[in-house]
Amino acid sequence: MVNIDLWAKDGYLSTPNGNSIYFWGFAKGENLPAQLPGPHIIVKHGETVTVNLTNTLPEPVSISFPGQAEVTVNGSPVEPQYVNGRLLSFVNYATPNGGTVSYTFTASYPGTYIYESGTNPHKQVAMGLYGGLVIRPTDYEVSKTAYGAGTDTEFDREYLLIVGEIDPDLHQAVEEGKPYLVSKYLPRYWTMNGRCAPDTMFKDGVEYLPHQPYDSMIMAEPGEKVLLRYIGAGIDIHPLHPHGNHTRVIAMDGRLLRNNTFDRSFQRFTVAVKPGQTYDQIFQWTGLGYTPDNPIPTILPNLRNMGIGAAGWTMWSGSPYLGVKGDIPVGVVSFNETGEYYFMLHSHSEYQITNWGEFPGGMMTMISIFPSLPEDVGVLK
Amino acid sequence: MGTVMKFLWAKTGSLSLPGKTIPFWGFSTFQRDPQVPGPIVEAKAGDKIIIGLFNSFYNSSPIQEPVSIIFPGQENVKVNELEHFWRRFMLYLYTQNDRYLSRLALRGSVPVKPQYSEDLMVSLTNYLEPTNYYNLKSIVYNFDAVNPGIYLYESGTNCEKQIQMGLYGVIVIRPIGYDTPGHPNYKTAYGVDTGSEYDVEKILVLGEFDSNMHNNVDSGYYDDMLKFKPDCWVINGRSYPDTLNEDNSSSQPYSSKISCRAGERVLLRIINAGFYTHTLYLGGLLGRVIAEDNFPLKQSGMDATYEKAGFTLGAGQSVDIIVTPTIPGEFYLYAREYNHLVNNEEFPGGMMTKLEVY
Amino acid sequence: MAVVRKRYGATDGWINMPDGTKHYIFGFCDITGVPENEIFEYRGKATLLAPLLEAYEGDEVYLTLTNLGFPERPDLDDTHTIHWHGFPNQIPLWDGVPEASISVPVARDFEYYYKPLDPGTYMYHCHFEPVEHIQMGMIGPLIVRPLIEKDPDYSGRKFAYNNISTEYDREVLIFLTELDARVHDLIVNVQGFDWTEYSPQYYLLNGRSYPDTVKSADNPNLPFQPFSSLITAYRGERVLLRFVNLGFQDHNIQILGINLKVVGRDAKELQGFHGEDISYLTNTVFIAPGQTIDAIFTASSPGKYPLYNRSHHKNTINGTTFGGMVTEINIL
Repeated sequence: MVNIDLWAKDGYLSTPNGNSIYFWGFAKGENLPAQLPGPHIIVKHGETVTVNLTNTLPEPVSISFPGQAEVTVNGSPVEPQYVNGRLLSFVNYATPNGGTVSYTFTASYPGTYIYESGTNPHKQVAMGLYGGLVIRPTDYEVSKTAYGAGTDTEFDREYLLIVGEIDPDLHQAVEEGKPYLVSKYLPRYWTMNGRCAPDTMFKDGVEYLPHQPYDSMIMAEPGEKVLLRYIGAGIDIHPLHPHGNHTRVIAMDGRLLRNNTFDRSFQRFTVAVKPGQTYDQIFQWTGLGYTPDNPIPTILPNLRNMGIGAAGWTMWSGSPYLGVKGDIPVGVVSFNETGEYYFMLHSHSEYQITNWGEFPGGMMTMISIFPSLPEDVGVLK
Repeated sequence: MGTVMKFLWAKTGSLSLPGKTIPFWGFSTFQRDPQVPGPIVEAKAGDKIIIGLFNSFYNSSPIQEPVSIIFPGQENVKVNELEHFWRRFMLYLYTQNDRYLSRLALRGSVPVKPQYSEDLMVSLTNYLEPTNYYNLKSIVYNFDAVNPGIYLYESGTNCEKQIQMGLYGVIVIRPIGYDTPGHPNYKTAYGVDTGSEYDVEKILVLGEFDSNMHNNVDSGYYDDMLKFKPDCWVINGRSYPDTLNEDNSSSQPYSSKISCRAGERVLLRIINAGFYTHTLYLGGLLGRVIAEDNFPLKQSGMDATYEKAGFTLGAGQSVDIIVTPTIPGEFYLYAREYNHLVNNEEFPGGMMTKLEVY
Repeated sequence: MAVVRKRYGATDGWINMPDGTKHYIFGFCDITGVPENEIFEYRGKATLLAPLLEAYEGDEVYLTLTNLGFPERPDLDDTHTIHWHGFPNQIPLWDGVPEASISVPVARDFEYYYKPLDPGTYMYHCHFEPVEHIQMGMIGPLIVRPLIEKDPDYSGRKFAYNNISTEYDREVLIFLTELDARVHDLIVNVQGFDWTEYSPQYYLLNGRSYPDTVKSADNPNLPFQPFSSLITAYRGERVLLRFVNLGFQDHNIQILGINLKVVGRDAKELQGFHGEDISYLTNTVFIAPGQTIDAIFTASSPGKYPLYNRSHHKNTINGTTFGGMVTEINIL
């Protein structure tokens, strides 16, 4: 039995270009901040999960769990809610200003899932009422896999990226109690785990982003298998492209792409993350084998003649080799720590990697390959 | 192998959407009102399908521009442009003898091809010019129904306008024996061993309408497509809550509501007739994808089917899924592009329907 | 294994649309083998699309990027890079991301090295301020050919992958992009653009809009748009269509009367974890930005077949029909 408390509250999101945007989100407790995305729910296959929702917002709020069968409220299956014959919510809701509702379901299949409001979704999900649900296989402690032993889904590190869009005008309309004209929807910000680049690359729980606790920096060692879980929480398609290698998509919407012995997983260098849908993938970078003893076949030019860190900073070490630091020209700040490699992971609808039209920003992060990493990096909590 | 013959008229009409009535263009059968989606065409694999198109003859509300029909997904479509077809057609109506008519439709038919005016393509296929009420011409297309599946038939001329105005419909091709109890293909969408056995079938055609564009086209003032901005979101030509009304004889005759018993297999055949991408979301249920764009995923002993909660279809794409609900209840099926679940800015509305399980 | 040496110049230029309008672009041009004292004559001669980069599995490709500067925008000292989109196991030095390695200032060179091990359809593009440089046109097609073609048993035959079921006779590029004329106009006039307002008016196939798509590659009115999209095939030929989307929108391509067999996606054969065959047939190709799709059809009945975007509002030129991402397939 797992008991999870979620509070529907409001707060403000911070964007790198100095904007502060009113939003609605789920919080872990009464005195904890609303967050975007909502708190990760991580449970085990077979567990009975109860999610207790308390709603502090001025309209009814609910939670729907796409992909979970037989969600119940007070022992009966959830059902659409009507007021005066008019549909108000896809599932049972908590009344405004303090109402509560508890949902119970059995985590019946491992995988990655979205949870989101089922009430006025055109407004509430856009305002930020969404989060990620991860169900681990029963033998997770014995063998670290996504779908169980024998499914070829072993991994070394694991990351969850939830992508979305923000139209600040519509958020402001809600903040000011003005009409919510969804036909004018025009995103100005794009987010990964609720943050816009470069905030996407700062650590979990960074103090100046109290409402956006999750980071999106992918970190691994060469040869390691990285389980990348994507969730599309917005209403647009986001084609996510990692540099450095393909990913193998092993499951979608929490269902392994394998029937008995027939496996239909597929490889992509760009995964189109579609609205409301989830994608589990394995990424693995092994490199090309170049080291100072097996050097690159080209000559590195004098770095003072090259463009290094056009904006005054770079992630580069100055050396072509993993684990080696080189000679970054004076005047450029390098954030490189130990000669690690950085590969961008970003939306290929390129206007989405801006903050209100200014590059760089938006739906972008980095995959960093470190010569070695501590064990507690890439553990989903 | 049989012959399926259908005669369609292209007409102007009026659509009823929540809070507004807009003009549209739709296909109809003889002397009936236009509808969207157009009249369904049903055939079996191996049949010859013959579709005749009239614009003027016996048409009090013709379209004042060339019309045509294209059949995406079908190969080797042929066409006959027949001057006096109407006489044979009246005879057919009187005698119900379709053999002579179908021979006439097929004899001398030639492969369709794009049409040009001064080296510029003006139509994706052979078209029919508009003329007066008693005009005798019709254009008759024919092709073999080779592969089972669900397909669109739609305008092939000035498509950005005519398809948007409503000139589209559905062709369903079923495997031989699908309706013969005891036959291995009985009640399957794609034949034996394709994982497509079903108890209840429903076709859902997704689309969108730009009401301003419809009004402009109707007034003869056709705006430029840079201003294309749909505001009405439909399944089978209707916006919620009308999607839940029964089949009727209106200009939007097909219901989108589905009913079944718990444990029954519901075959949902979803096809996108719009220009925008649409995602149909099953909410609490999961469906098994058994065919994508009419390609069955389970064949020759290999099962590439998979379960999914949301189905994103680009313009013109289709998917067949089997949903097997286990408990009674009311399950909404809705667009995950949540801004399409509104009528005039208000939720609920738009691209939404319901599966009732009892 | 061959050594392929190429040199591309990054510069600017102008292209034409069928409505008579001209648009400022950034792009690459081929200056391979051009003597050092002549390379600057290529300033202002960027092409849309950039040159086709092709190699065999196992070749060693030395690609030098030279920044020739922008004659129309001498104030703009943007650096450039080349990013081989999808190169497996790449290292940052040759990945072309300025924030993670090196970019090339005006009048400088940088040598990229690639040893491709995976055949398929890729693309390359500049990754400096990619939202701007990609839309402005610094984009090109990239094909890696399989080693099976060098096998004496298969001499003279063509394959998409090291799999005889991917054999083809004729290859066609279907490279999709959009053009928002406001961007190009603002940039040549030293102004900025709010990218959240991105909304194209032109839809391009291999750098041109119909009816220019069906004109010949060397059409004198399209000197900087050297790729034709007219497809001619003989009955019985297997035609390989290499779809690439380097626009910012999803597109849905149909060919009326011809169904396609999709054999590869994102430069990988369609195979499951154990090599299961998951190739499929379709009549509508849905392709998102940054993806590639390899599809084969066998030309069976002689005739003319139109290829178009099923999102019909995009088959337009600045809003009016008929144009855009449209071409013709002639089967003889």
